[in-house]
Amino acid sequence: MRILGIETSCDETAAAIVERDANGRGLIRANVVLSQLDEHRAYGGVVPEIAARSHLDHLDRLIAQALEEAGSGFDDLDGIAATAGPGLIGGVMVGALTAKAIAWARGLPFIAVNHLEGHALTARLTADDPAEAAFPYLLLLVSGGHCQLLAVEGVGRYRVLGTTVDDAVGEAFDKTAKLLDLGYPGGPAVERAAERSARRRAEAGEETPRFRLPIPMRGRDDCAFSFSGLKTAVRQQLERLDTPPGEAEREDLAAAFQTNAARSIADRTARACARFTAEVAPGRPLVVAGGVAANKVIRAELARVADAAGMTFLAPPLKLCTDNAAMIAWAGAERLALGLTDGLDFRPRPRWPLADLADRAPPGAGAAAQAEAGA
Amino acid sequence: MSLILTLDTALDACTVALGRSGVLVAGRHEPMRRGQAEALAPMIDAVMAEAGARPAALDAIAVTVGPGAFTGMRIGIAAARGLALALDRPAFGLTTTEAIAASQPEAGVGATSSEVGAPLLIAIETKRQDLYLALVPAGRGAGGGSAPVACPPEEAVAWLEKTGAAGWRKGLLLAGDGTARAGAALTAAGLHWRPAGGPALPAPEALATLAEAARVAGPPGTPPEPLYLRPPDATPPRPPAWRAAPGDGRDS
Repeated sequence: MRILGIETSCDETAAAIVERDANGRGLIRANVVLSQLDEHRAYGGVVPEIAARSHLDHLDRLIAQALEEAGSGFDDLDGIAATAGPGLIGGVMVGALTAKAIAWARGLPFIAVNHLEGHALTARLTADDPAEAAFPYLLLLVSGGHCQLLAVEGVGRYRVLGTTVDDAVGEAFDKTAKLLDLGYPGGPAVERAAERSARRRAEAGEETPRFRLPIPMRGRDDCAFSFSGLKTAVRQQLERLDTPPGEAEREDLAAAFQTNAARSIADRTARACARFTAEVAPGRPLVVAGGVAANKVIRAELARVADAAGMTFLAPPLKLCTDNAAMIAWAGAERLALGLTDGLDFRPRPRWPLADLADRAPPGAGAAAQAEAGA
Repeated sequence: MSLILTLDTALDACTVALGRSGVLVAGRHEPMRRGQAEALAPMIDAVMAEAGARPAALDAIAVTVGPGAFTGMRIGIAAARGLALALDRPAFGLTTTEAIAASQPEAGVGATSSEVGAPLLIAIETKRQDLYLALVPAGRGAGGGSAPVACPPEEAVAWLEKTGAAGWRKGLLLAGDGTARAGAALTAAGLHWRPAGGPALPAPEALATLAEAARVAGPPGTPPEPLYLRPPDATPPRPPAWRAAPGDGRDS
């Protein structure tokens, strides 16, 4: 089957055409992403109204481009999938309404995709062999808006093992980058600054880090995250300096922040690996998804954690870790393959926890429709 | 013969009108402050089913582009542009102010041909301090009004003067959900006005007529775009505190 996917929930406008064969193997025929980074840069973060305006300006053209790149027409499609939440609701509505209109006009099924489910199922799209990413697996979802450990037991079947009690990890990277005035977006800016710090300290033969920060939640007997304390510690270190921080100090602080954020994530994930192994099954994959999965230090920590837990580590290509429509098309394909579609009256939602998808899981789209009516 | 589907979700309603050569074939109008994202597509389906028309039978898609609620405008325009893309048909925009003007009995439904007898002021609530205003001068049709503006009520008279239109000092007709606030400002300025007597929101019949008139006039070759009349609310962040500290500048 061939699905058009649409993603407009944050600051990327994206359209993609993805195929899923009878064996569950995925193929990306087109994956078009237009980043709004430059439009938001001056504000140091995503401005919802600017994002919504920009999605509307570009989405139809990007869909046409994706179809052309895939060599497809609407007649070749089997369904239209769009992010219907969670996310910035003005943008979500643009994507959802465009998708509903196309689905209605062409008589195709509409699939309202949970953006997080898109991330959660990406490993199944990018696996060389579908068996590699068969259910169940442990998922670490780390992005600007989310930070969760989930047991993924099937399409629509997610059990939260742990989540953040305050900031998402990507949010902490952004806030730290702001405190240190490292630029926007914060994630890559902190990572680059940390690399410069590591290089300089190696050249200078410095062994003891200049700054000491806490490792949040380490050793706690659950799988929860917390990052606001780490960010506050960065601020306090800044305030303790007698003079405004120089380049080197800011880079060292960025490095200390990143190291400890990565260690905290590793500690929490190791805890989840043990729990997953005991409660679900041993030897299953650890999958990472979301924009923060692009961070090389965090990736390396996670590979180590998976190895120690006897699990394989699956990380989608960087391009599919950040927001894209291929993952939405794929989630749509997985749902459609199970006969799960949505009504044109589906209500886009700003908040939509993955755990709430249980009532949209198979069997039966009827149950899903009822859940919608009651939501 | 042309079959045009017109959508309006820019104000406090969800409205769909199917017109054949400017005459309403089927239409729905449901007042709602929100919920258009859920209501619109099923309403399109219901209107088309009532008319027994298939999507491919449509010749064009029209949509109100504002001024109005930003989210609502985008709901309608996103759907219109999606339909246009999927059906390979043109989509074009109508302003909410001309759609309200066309819905007034004084203007006559389908007011692009019938003329308003007195100057018609359309006032739309912004849910902020200002109003969206547009003036249809006497002797013009609904589509022949001024471009809409965002204007505080107390500056309405100054704006009317700037339009260069004649006759409004002798009396105005008012329409739109901002009538009360606009009227109060006009009264305070010593101007005479009375309600135009039609609906405060665009009526399906008027949308069908306006859309046909716009098609005949030759719609623009570009997709419909929202008429926001206002930049996004956004302020650049302050630099971190240490940047402002005395003695800064070591590495900037």
